[in-house]
Amino acid sequence: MSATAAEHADHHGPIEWPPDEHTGTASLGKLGMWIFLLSDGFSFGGLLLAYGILRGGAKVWIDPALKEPHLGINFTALLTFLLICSSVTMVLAHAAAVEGNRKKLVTYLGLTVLGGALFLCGQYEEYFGIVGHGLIHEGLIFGESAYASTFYIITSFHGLHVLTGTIYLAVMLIRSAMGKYDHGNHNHIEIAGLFWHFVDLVWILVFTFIYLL
Amino acid sequence: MAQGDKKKKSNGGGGQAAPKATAEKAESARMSADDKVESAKRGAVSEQNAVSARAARPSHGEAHHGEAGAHGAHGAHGAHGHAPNRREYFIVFVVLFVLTVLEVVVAQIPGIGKTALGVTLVGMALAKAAIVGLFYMHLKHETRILRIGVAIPLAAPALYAFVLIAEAAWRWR
Repeated sequence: MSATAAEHADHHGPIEWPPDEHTGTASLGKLGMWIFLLSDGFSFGGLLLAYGILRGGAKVWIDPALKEPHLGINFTALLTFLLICSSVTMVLAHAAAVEGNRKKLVTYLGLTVLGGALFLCGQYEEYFGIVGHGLIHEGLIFGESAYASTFYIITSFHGLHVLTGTIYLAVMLIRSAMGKYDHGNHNHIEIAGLFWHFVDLVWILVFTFIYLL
Repeated sequence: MAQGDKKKKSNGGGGQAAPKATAEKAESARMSADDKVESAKRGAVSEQNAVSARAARPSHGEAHHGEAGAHGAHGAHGAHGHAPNRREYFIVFVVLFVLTVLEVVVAQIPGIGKTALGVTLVGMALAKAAIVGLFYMHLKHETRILRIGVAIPLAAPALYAFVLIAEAAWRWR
């Protein structure tokens, strides 16, 4: 009985959330995601703060005696572009969900998942090297300097978010293909999108603070 | 019951009512009052039906996506009262792309001053983050309280970070 009710809700969408004086039509799920994203933002904020204080207080940030490699800007700029593209496919997936177009929803979600997977491959290449040497083989070793440690902690913490987001969106992709988000039932897609855009937003800041500055 | 109370509250005064919906609101409120009288007459057993009837009625100028309106509601996107704007999404993408290219170019200008580099790059990064939040995360369409509720908790630690990093940098100079 309850399974039938859940299936029914999936197919026809939840009853419209009543507008609230303070939060408008934002659903409880969306508000919950925003609260989570704020707490996640504080986690990244703490890591970036430690990085900033260490770097600001260091006389020499990249010690020539350690022969550590400099970070590649151009390759990482490509990864940034990849994440921006995946954000676009994510909003287009949401737009398709709003319009109840399952085919487009599945296509754009698939492209977003692909973007996330490619980003992870790019990060693997940067760390370990697939076609190139990789930073670890070039001498950037975790624990040997504040430069290396903060780099690995911050970028891998972000990479963990990309991995989580890619798995999250892959699940949403399967559910979309099963018809769970037909008929304009887009709330869960929008919530998943919030997480994915946040991952993009954080990378924009990480790219600037860790790589460009 | 709780759901019914929420519906009554929402008919009384929503935060996002468009001016053109004023007449509809008044009508909605009047009909809501009628429903209450009807519900009282019919008793507690039939109150659920009255709630459903109110839920099915478009309010605040928005179409309803539930049982009654879901199938024909494509194009009238009730949950936010706005349709996805693909043109806007594309313009935002172009802006993000251009800013990213500019960042890479600025970062590699030979002999650029540290302060000029920092101010330019951080400014561009914050602009990019803000437009992702506003347009792709739809903060632009949320209520002002929700926008402020997101912005202030993120801005306060940023100010703290600025002070601490500046202090650390000053101490060693």
